[in-house]
Amino acid sequence: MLTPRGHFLLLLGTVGAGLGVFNAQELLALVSLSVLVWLFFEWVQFRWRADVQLRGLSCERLVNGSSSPTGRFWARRIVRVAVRVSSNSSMRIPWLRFEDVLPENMECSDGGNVVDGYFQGADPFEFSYTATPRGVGSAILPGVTVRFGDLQGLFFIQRFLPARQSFRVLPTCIDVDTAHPTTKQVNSLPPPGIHRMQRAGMGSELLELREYVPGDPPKSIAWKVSAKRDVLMTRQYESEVPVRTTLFIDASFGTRLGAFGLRPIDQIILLAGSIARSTMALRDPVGLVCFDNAHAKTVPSGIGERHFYRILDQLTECAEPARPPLARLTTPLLEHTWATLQDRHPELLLPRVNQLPFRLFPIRPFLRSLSQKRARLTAALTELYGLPVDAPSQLEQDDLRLAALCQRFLTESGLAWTWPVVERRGREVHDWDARFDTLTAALTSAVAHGRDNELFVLLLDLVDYTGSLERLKQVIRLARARHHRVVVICPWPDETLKAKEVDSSEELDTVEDLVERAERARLVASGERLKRELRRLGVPVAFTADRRTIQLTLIEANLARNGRSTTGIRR
Amino acid sequence: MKPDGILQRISESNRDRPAQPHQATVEGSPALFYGIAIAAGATASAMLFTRGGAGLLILFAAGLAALVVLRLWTVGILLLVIQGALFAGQPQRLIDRVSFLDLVTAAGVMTLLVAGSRFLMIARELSPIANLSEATRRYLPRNLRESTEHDLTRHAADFGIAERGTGILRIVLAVAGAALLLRAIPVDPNSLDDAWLIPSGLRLISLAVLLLSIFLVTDLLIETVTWRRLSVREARVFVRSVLTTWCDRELRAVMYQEMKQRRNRR
Repeated sequence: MLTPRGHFLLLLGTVGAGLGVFNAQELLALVSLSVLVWLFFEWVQFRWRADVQLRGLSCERLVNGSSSPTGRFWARRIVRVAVRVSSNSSMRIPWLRFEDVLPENMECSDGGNVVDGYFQGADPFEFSYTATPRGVGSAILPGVTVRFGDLQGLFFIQRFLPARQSFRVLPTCIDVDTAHPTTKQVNSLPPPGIHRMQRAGMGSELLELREYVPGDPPKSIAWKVSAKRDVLMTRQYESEVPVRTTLFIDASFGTRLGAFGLRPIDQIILLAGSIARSTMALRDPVGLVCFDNAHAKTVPSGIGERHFYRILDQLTECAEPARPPLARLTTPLLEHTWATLQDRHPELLLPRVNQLPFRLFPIRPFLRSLSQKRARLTAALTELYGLPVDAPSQLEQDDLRLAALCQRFLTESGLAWTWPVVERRGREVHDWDARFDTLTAALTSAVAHGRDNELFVLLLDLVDYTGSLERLKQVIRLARARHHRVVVICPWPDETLKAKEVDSSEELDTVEDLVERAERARLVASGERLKRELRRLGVPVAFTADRRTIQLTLIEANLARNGRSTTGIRR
Repeated sequence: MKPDGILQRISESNRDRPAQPHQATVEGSPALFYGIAIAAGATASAMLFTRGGAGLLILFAAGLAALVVLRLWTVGILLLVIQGALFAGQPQRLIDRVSFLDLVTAAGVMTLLVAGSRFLMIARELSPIANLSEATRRYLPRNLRESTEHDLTRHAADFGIAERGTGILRIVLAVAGAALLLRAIPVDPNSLDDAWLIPSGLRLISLAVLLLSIFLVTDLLIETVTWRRLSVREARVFVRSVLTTWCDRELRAVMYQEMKQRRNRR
């Protein structure tokens, strides 16, 4: 509660008063005692305000005009937030700082979520600001932090006013020109969503003429040709089918790493949403398969706006934080959890509430402070997660369990999967074998259930993969053998980094530049390798940083429809 | 050095990006008021050091005022300097009554301290010197740096007669309270016979007991009033932590035993 300034003055006042009285120096004693009395009055007033008046505060938040506890945002679109802090009684608190706590997935551009204010009487305090969700997934607004100090900076306390609202952040789709060609390129223009297929069927376009076989409908007999050839000939028509596009989304651990908005999964989902939208604009059915290291979740093909929102919902669910790979308990992880807990539930960490047993060891101050923090942390986490009464003692000894609990708390508090939430050297992060297993099973199942002429778009994070692509190639060969088309799209770490941009002549001044250039060269080499290996199978490879990636997918869809591209863009 | 590939993804975080700084409010009118109060307090305090020399007095008062503007631990350092000067310069006289001049001097010192503390809180970016001291903050140990980041600013609209009034009241109450406390611990010339303590030693112990009693009684009163205002969650953590405190040894012994068994099983 006391700030360092308060501590310093308290120490000086006590020592001065003691010396003054003992040494019979009245003025020294008077001055020092005056300081102590001043501190005492300030303390009484501060405690009254902090423990009685501040507890009467409550807050209410309107997000885009709604106070509903759940809702939806669109990634990268501005959200308007209005906060109203009110008190249940008349009070006078001259100095407060309010902060509407934003998760890492949201960004306040103008810093308006932190404001200074005061309470005079029973009038509520209101403030508003705008924020932008960074990435797809979820955003939880937990409440408002109130920081309160006295007028002289001697005392300080932080309280938290809960006002939890959770939102799903849906992906924003890029607009791509998907206008269906209006020029007549074939004899008959099928209706939107229906495409010619060079196989016999019930379409309207003539495929071929063949000899009459008993059972053919008499309506299909080509009388003129039959008369010329003196044999009954039957007209056979083309088949008209929809081209189904199936998006395979890589939602494994590796794609979730990084800051919100910059994660590979953000790029994958942005592109997947845009492709789904563009394809559905042509009334082609779109399906979705989200897979991670263990499971694959499928949304069957469909069309229509309702289905589009179903796909967006599923994409959002993919991006929502899962349980991260288990990390070791490190001091930074502990400190991070402590800081976040102090921000969200400061009242649970107060020594007055969260008491500690006396222990002699450890004696060294740093270790002692760390041990005390750990003990308080375990008690608070036990309360938050409803663990048994003896859980604090267990957690104090069990590093792995405490690490898992810290990770859970940090992830649920909206922290991104960056260090120290996940370990920098975690081996579970990129489990390529497991990932390829799930992908292979999902793609094989899609091929088995699919008809002809389907388009499979694999949105995979393969840039960091340096092993053999043989397993992926096998399953792609299977799909190609069934006349399906396959496109592979990889997230690219930096939008500004194009494949051919590594310039060997540029000057490198620092080690950082050198490392950056090496990293760029590695990425470019990895991208080129992917392109080279998969192009042999007739599979185009694109990167999320390239604006033409969506159009490339549409070209493939077009090729699947009628065997020719109509957009004029080269693969 | 930037890490590569996957490590870069784990390292890059929105947490590391500089947050939008919260603009501290520079309040003109209150700063002026507290500036004048500092000057007055500094002059009164300077009288302690320079009795007689007017030129030296002005120089000293200006120096003290400048120290406040320099911000860093200034109030504490000022008090330390004043206490040091009093300890070294004041004669020893065992009396239980303070003179009027002493009261005025103490009020002057308190004015300097109160106004200085307040001034530092509201005028963070008032002068280039203050900015300079802001720059030095980054070299401070982390706990000190954090403490200054907790400083709050306040809208000038709230500054009024009430605050000035309470400021003066604080000073008067503090000095009067201190004088009363000194009067409450009278000099007992027979203390050596009665309590086997020299008079000043007995006074010191009496003062300590008095201060401790006042503090404990007040704390108890406030605690009694605020105790029932704890939230359910706080109460549960309290009960649990107290229970754990009682049987800490036993629980730890059981845990150690369990861990040992688990290790043996492996």
